[in-house]
Amino acid sequence: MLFNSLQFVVFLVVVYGLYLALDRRGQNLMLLVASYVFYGSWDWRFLSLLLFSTGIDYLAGRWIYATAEPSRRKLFLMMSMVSNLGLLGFFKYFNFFAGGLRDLLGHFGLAMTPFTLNVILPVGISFYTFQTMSYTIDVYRGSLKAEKDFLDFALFVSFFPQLVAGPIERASNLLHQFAARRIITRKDISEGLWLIFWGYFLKVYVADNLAEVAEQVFAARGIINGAEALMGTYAFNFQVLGDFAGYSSIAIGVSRLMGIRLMINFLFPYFVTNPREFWANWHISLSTWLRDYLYFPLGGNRKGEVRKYFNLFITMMLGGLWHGAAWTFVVWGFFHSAILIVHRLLEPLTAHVRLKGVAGGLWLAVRIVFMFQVICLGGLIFRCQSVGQIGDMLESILFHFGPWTHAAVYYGLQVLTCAGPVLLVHFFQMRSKDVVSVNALPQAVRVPLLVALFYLLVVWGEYGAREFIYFQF
Amino acid sequence: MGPASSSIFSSSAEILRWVLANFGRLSTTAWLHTVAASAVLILAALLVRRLRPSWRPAVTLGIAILALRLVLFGNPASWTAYSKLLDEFDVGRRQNAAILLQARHYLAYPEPVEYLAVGSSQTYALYGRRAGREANLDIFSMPGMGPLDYVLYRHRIAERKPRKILLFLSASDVAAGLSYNAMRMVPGPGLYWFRLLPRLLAARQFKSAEGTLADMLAADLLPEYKNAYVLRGLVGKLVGEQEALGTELLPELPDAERLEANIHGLTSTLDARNIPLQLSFVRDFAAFCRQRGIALVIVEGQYHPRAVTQENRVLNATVRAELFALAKADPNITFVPREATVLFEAGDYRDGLHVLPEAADRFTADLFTKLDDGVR
Repeated sequence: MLFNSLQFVVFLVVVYGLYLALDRRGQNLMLLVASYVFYGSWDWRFLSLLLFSTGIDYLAGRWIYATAEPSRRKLFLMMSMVSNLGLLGFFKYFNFFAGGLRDLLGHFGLAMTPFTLNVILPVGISFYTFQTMSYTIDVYRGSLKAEKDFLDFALFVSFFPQLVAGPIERASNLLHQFAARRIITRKDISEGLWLIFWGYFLKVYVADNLAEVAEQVFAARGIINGAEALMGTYAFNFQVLGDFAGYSSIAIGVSRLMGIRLMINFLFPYFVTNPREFWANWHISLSTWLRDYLYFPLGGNRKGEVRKYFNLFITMMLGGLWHGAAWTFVVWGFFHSAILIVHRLLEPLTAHVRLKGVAGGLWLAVRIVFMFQVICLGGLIFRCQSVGQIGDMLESILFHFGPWTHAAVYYGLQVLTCAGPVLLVHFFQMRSKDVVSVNALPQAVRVPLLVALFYLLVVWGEYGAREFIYFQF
Repeated sequence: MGPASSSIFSSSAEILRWVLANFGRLSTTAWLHTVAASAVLILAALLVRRLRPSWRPAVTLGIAILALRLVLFGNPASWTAYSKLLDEFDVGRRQNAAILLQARHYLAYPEPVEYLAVGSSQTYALYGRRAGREANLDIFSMPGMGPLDYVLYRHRIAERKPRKILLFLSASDVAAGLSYNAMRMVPGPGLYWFRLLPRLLAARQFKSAEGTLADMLAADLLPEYKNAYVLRGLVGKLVGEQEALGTELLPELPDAERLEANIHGLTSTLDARNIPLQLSFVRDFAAFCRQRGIALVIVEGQYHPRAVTQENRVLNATVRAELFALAKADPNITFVPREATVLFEAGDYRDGLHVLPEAADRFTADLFTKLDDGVR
């Protein structure tokens, strides 16, 4: 059930109608059933995985909380980790590693019977396993009490707006909201509606229009026209932003309508000046998850310079693999760890540059534009089907740039017309440091802006109900 | 009125002159509709200051969207301009016909017409040349026009004040599946939804096309969505989209290729399971004609002899029996069987569906003689 489908609109209207009519307990029960219906609409068999994860982590949390004995606490934590990572590993990485092993042995002349299985990847498995693992780890660390109410806990794991593509919520943010009576304010409604509208705009107008450009460019094999390759790369970077940030925005907006506040997942990732800022603006729920549950436990930056860079490297490599089992994601993880490390190494040199006025503005613009190119390079790696294609695309852009064909100009116009409104709204949001700042704009600006966005969405939106990219993760 | 493109203006001043010159031809309904809608919006804009401050932003936004909707899609001038600015190359053939039909909807038709041929491009190919010569014949046609289109356009068809409506129907119309994505641009069903929706949901082919119901519903609710192709066409024309891409969206296939494409369509997509749904629309249209006192003449259609397969013979026999039964039960309907008309041969066709002008002339001369003689 895609957010951008009639099925979901009908589903949401029914769920919201019931939600308004029920008391807190009834709301939670209804939301749980609705979440299972929502998830089961992809494949009802996947529900068993969701229920398994829910059961294991509920019990693990209760048992960890009930005992003070370190070895038993660790045992229960391990039970949760092994179960969740086992599920994730089997469904997501089994074929990848089995194939890799077969290829490796093949290099040494050792033939191996193919033993990969036809494993279907359950939608959203990476999101909910990370979400439920964070709960168990928090209980183990003592930063969270174990949840007694199974209904509330099950809802925390399966809450439908963010179940299949995030934000990856923390129990500390969500569980107490499920335990309390929700009060829906007028602000919740107006901000929720804006977030839903903006999410659909990002998905249907920005992402799905640019998807056609990106698909055409990245479908080509070998060396292609560099200008077309570059426009395709820009198109993909805005496509993936629109797609993923759009989903998050709809999820957050739908939750707001119910009086539930989810964490912000995207800010203004293309208005940043360095990789650290980028990760503070992009897929925030994953980057903070990796920071809190991987980078910090590895020692973070508390164990010396070399160890800090090693920890960064490991974190980003695993962040890359979280996206999927492919060598391109490994390269992508390596790329992001490399730019983070290079940035930290160079930071002391650029920290002294203090420009003011026009020069300061120009310096900021240069850094933003430069960083955007770096991010786009990461996007190119992410989008390519193989490591070989990464090389071909880079060679096309660097050594075969031009001439500006009709197609390249057309792609460029598509990127400009789709990215322009996003950058404009992000600019407003960045200035006010608020993702719903459009609601606070003066009426003379807001009304024309909203009318223009409405027309772009309705007239130029692509209504093919294309799947969200991050569902595959 | 047919799928042929309209004349194109070269400047905005020319459009303005044309609009001013044709204001006298606008129907009273068109005037009343536009003036009333404008008055309501102006009044709403004046009253918005009296609202509670918390309501003002949403109401202002709503008024702005409605005002723009009126300017773009709710008045005769804009549609006349679109009909003169855009052609099938800019928006597509069916879309272009929809624009022309919308623009003509605003015009007054004081004189009734004896015959109005309603149907697809096949109908246009058949009656187009004669309609240009004879005052007693007019055409209401758009590419791909099928039974559901007849129903949805029924009020527009009646605006032309026909005494008799001519349909050219065969298995190629009645056994064809609905092309839902082509329904977005035609007038919305309105109250007809209550009859249409259960039928669509029950229809076999609908189950695989959920998105198209959403498409039709969205088009009915949002004129901006329904008429998106107009704005897309205008902007595309403005920026020279077609030229930039170096392609044509609607390449005119050579006759031989079109013949093969038509024959493939006729021999592979027709299905007996579509007949009940399509016939239900024919029946509704017939009932509408009866209520309005418009006689309905159903001429059994023909298509290229190469597409007459054994399966199509069976389909044609079924459709013919159904149409015959319909005419028998309703004295308002005249059914003209195929054998009572001029039968086309392979050489009469331009492609798989459309006949050459000379063959059409032979056909219509014979048909109108028989109709005037009171064939039944």
